[in-house]
Amino acid sequence: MSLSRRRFLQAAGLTTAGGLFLPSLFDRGRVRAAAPGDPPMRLVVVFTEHGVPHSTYDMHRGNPIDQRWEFPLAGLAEGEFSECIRPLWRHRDKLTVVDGLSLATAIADPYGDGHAKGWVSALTGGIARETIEGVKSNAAKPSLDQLIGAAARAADPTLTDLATLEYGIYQYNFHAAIYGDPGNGGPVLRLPHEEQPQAAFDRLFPNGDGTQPPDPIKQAQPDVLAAVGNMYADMAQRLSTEDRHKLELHRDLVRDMEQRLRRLQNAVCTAPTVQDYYWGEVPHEQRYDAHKDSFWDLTTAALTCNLARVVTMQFGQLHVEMINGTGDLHQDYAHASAPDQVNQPTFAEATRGMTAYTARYARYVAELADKLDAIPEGNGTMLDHTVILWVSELSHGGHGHDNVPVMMVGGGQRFRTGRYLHYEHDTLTTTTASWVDDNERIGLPHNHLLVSVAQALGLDTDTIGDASVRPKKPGAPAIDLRGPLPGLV
Amino acid sequence: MLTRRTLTLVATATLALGGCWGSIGDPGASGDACGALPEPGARRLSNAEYRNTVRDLFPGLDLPELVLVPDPAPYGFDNDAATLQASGLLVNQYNTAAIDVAERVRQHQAEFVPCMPADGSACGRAFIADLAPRAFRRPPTQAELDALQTVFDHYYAASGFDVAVELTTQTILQSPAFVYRIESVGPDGSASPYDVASRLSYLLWSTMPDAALFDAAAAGRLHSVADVGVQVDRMLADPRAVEGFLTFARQWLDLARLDRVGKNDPLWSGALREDLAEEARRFLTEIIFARGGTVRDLLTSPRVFVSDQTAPLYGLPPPPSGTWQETDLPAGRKGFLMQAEFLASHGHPNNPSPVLRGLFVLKQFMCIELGSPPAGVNMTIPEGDPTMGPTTNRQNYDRSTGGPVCRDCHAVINPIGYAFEQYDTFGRWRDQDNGLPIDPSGQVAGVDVTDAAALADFLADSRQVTDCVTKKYLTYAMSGPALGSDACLTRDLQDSFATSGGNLPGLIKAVATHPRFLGLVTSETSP
Repeated sequence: MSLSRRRFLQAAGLTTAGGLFLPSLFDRGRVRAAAPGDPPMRLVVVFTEHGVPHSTYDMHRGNPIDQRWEFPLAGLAEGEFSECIRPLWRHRDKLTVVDGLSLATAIADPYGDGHAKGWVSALTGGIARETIEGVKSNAAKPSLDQLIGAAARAADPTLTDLATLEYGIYQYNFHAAIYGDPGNGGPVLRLPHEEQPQAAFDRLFPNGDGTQPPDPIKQAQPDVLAAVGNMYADMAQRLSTEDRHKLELHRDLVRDMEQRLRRLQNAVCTAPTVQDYYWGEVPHEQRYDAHKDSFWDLTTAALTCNLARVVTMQFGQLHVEMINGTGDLHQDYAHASAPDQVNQPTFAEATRGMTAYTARYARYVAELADKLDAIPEGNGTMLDHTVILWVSELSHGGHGHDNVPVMMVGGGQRFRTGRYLHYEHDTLTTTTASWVDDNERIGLPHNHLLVSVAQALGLDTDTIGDASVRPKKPGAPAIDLRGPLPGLV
Repeated sequence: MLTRRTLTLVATATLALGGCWGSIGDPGASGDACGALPEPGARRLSNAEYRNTVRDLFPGLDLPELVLVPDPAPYGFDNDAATLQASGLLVNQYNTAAIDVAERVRQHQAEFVPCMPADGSACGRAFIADLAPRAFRRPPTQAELDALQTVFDHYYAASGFDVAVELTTQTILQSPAFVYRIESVGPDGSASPYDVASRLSYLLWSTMPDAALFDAAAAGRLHSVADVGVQVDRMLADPRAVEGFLTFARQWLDLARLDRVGKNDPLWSGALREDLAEEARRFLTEIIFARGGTVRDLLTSPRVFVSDQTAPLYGLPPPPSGTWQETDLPAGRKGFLMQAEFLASHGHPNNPSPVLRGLFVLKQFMCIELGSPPAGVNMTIPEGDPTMGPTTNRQNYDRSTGGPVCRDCHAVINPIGYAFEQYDTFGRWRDQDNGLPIDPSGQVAGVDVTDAAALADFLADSRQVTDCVTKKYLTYAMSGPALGSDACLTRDLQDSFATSGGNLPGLIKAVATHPRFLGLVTSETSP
């Protein structure tokens, strides 16, 4: 039993993207979303930690930060892009920078550290349900990706529990962004992400690359799971409410898996090649980039094959050597690049490091956009029918939640892309901190962005997360979090 | 007002200290009487329990790596009943694990199938009758046996004996009775003897019951505290009890933190970290657990095991590479909190952290939980201000945490951590800091201490500390924070633990033989 083995899967002869089809999925016929020329909208959420260094990220071009304004990105030269965003310059026609929003619900949350509150708020749009031991949070509301996935499954019977895919580099046991509602009356649950590309591959491609002879053990899995599911159903009946919920949840997940395996049994879909390394097997940087490449290939395949509608990719922080630094990335770079550290001797190096950090992720996002933009679809490319939404749990290394970085690439079928949008700073602060002035202003709450994305993905809703939040100022009306972000479409 | 809102406070004892906390008692402090026994429940095996159980279900089988998404640990321990729920990812991982394990069982079926494959369905019956009771940790119901037999017979007819064994094994390994500990009560309201057996084995060994425990359950010899005591003595003498203790201690003392810290120094090698982890393991298992150690020993024992990697941190002569030597720490140093594993784990890349060290003592030994820093405060590691001339680490922390927003809590945290200032971020002794003399004086619970050794002595004498250790162990033993209805359990154990001088194996035995832990209805558990 070795921890350091390298698993490498070759999908012989099946490496070209495009031309993918799933005959078994079309047996029911009339699958609207899969009809030629009418591709479904998809969402890829990219999550990176620590926010951005605003001095090398923002592109304010002299405009007032307290007002709403925008400018087109198409005409800008590469050198006119900020250093952090520059790797996305080649996608400037399909890029939307959304600047100046706040995580108003995270700001309003008195408990937990800044990371924890931001992780919860970023995709759920809600205040954390509880924070235990300082840094670990649970959400009260399901996250955007899960809401979209559930709606997509309800509308499209060919989808399975792979409708949402949760990927990540590095497994964290706290600071989680993805929350599901099991729909059994129990609480919203934190959902883990897959960090091994090979396991993710096996889930999408249970038959491997299709060249292996039939394996009776694999073929039996749906029936084995059916038997297991029945055991959970039987056992659940014998339990009191709370424990019954646990076993019913387990039963539903087993049955989901069973259904998925039945559906995929005859599916034909081009399998990518994945590289999967274990800790210590190769240098950190190589492992990080290899896993990133593999997850992007799996993302592209899953969207192309209509296996998934939503993919979330949570990037655990880069290794410090990947930004040509030394020491501790979180302490020596993220924290030391906070705006209030500007007069410290360490600020310049910290800002350089976090700029390299952000630009590297911008490069990763650009690489995914390259892949999707290379696949013709409808009247454009797959990128036009996919929103890549890049968010963070923080605004910057100082744990603030105002002016959070948000970028979208693609989604041109629903959004007017190719713009840098800045939103006004005109919302009363929601903080509970006693030393903050009641009249301080924060950016427009990002809940509106979540609503816009949800609507673009076909959700008929005007609220994601909390519908309102209280401002600090006594007697001021509640801040309305409903409705889409103006100016996006 | 700010501190009331932003700090989560759980203090076991009333402390007459200002600003940072009120005196919020734990559930056990408001009343010491116990209520009715909690209803039996269903708890998923933690990943550690799952892996150990698979190992013991198929003794001698060379197991594949069983990849499972990490368990949540909301109260510091990864066996929390309320949050051990299934996720889609975990269900997939259980399936993969079952496939991988069952394949090896089929390959080595001569060791696990107690009959001749030529006997077909009848041999399948015997295989199920052997495996299912151990996997379920109780006799299966007839319906369960029938369901498994149906699986076996179906695949026996379709694909033969080997495939039938493999798929039946997969089914068992994914079944609720294997993945969850699902308890039931007997007619008198007591936990069933098989549930008692599992409560004991998962507490003391972090794994399934062995044959002797199953036999005791079957023979009705787990119904009284005296009967259980016989088993507990036997189990504590078993090597598996060492691993069981470590499963608790590793989480209580946050030994995993070692792998999460970085240092700006090539000395911080993988080899050093491995040996620091092993040093802590040997201290806890050989010096504390095996020798009947107390909380005082944990905090003040001068004994330590060193390797050629770790000895230089203490200024001790290194033993030959690859060997471990038990020795005394240098004069003045004693106990876990002055060992390099703890000190280095609670240090930053360049400087030791009085905040991390102080918070650890508060949280793990005094059961005082402080909230997170309020939003928007400066979270950077304090550094010297070059315009002010050389400063010590302590002065830097004083300056950065002395403001009105920070000082309420840091007035409590820092003086505990400052007592460790004579130890650098690797845990090495230092006479000076940045060329300046070191002030290791501190304060804990309102009492001044001269240095880390005096702090350790204070903690070793403290009833609050033994009460806190009891509470930590009970959180682990009961798979979650104590319920109000278990108040008498907390009180009984805190009293007996203090009376025993904080004897740690004694605490484990006291919990394992307590009727409330066991779920036995006795005069003590039914008020």
